[in-house]
Amino acid sequence: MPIRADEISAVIRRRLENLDFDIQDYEAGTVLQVTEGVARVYGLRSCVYTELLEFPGKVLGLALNLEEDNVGCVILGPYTQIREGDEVRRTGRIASIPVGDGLTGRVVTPVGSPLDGGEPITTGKTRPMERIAPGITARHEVDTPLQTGIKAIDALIPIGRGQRELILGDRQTGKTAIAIDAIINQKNQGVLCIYVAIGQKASTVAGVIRRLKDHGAMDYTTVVATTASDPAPLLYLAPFAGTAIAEEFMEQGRDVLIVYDDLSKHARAYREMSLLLRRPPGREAFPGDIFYLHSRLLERAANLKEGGSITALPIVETQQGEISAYIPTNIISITDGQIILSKDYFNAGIRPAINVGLSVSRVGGQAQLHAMRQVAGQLRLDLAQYRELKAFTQFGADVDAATKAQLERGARITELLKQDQYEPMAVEEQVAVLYAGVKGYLDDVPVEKVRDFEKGFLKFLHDKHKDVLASLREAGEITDELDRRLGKLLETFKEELV
Amino acid sequence: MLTERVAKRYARALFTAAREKGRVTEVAGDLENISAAAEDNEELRRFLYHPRISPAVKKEILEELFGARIQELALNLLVLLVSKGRFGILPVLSRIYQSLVDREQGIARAAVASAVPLDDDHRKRLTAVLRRLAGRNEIRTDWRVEPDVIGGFVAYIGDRVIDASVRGMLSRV
Repeated sequence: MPIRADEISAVIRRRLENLDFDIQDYEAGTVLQVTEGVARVYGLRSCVYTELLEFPGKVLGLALNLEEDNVGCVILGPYTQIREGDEVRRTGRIASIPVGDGLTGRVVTPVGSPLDGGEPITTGKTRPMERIAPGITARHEVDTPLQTGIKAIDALIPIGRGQRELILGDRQTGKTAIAIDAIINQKNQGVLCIYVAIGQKASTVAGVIRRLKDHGAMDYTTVVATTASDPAPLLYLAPFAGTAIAEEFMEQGRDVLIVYDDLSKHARAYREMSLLLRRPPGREAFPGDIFYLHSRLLERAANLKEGGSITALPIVETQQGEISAYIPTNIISITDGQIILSKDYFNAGIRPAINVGLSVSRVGGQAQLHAMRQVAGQLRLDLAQYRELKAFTQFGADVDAATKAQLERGARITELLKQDQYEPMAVEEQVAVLYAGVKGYLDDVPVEKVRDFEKGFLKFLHDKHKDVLASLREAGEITDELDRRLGKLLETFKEELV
Repeated sequence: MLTERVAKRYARALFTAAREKGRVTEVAGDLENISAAAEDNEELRRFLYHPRISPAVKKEILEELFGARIQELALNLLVLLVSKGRFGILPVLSRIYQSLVDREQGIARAAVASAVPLDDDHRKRLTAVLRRLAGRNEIRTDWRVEPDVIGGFVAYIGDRVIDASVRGMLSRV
């Protein structure tokens, strides 16, 4: 077939006439200077606070200092390619993150990009990372327990849904382990979990995710991860992004547990960012709003009247057990209690290394299961007396029989509160074994046999007397009848042992 | 950054004074001419910045050079800048002063970059659009020719960029 030249040019002409000119209308400024992760941008007069800005190569920035004729912004990505004179565009978006069910089971960055090699996050809904916390009228007091599955915590430092409980301790004392156990224990409890890793080693984060997967906890958990190699602004955003994800679930009426691991690294990242933005340094070179930074974050944990809650477990690392340092005291004063872990206990083999004397829960008591409260009162008393007497007898003083009995009881209860990692216990099991301790059924068991006794007794209950555990769970308290049955069962079990 | 802040104060003062005398536009022209002259003339610049020449001498020479040709206000400003050792802010001052004048007179500034010079018809139509976008009654457009725009045009009004260029389209492909 011959090709006619005029036909071709007619087609081309027609196409050119209808060429759809894609016109872009945007506002832009110019990079004045770039320093470690921070840029000053000239212009952008109508830019708003925490607006996302776009640098060449799709690198995002966050506008944080709005000044007379320039904007100070932090760069949320590689900044080595950005040069003076580059164009910076406004996006018109406030820093936000995708939220919704699509995030459950995922590992994401604070800006919502997947890190697990999976599909891009397409939930179709985003929320701003910064939001004012729910007000007074929207809140309900903490009234439902959040079981961590750890005996020492559920009995002595109970946590309720909507509470903020700080986990505080030196490095390598098992802070993360407690948080991970708490997440694992939420299986089938209808609680969604969010784990926010702030500036952790990438290998540690990978380890945590593997542990969660091994225990089937990734089915209801979202991980917001930043590693030590991420720029400070990303670390700063991580907990706010995690909380935005949690808020979406809370407003759907669901219960959420969020772990911030850890806020001391967060404070350091914020300090770095603030100093680079030339904000005035204060104590320990932290900026003046470091308290507000954490208080506005933790205030977003709430138990809402119309259902839904966010329980926050922030983690703070101390140096040499110094809990009165700047950041720890700040966060202690914001939270509703703290779990203090001590190196000495850890080294003495008491794990979890919870310092029961210093740890408190200011609101969880009201939410504690009645059955647990029945055994916990005596437990607390026994332990307090034990600590006091132990300090006294360290001088080698001679003790009378009553004192000796108390010391023996204390040693056994301390042994009873030990628990292995990744082995959270159901609350009825906890009540059953603690009952054995406070009622004196362990007094004639050698201290080193206490844990075997505990395991054996639980197996015995599960194998032969499942109904006792079931009625404990259902009744939620130790009725007179249950009291009798537990006592009798313990005696039978001890006879069988012999 | 400091230059900008200092220049802004001088510019505001100068503007207020010029408005009282009703010589706003004349002063603007003078400022532009002087900064252009200082930029082009290496000798003048070196003379003005020279630390060994006293302000009194500089003042005399400035008067001789510009005295008859510029507004008294503009001359006084030059003398003041020289005596304060702030002659370097003149280009920025001139720019800020110009923007104050523009605001007073309802003029917006725009720039349009195109690959080839635009003809009058195009310019007229574009000016109408830009005036509407800027929301001012008059617009002064700086028509630039930038071959790397390839086709179409890029218009700038303040911080706003309207990119209808082939370069922009290609960069988004």
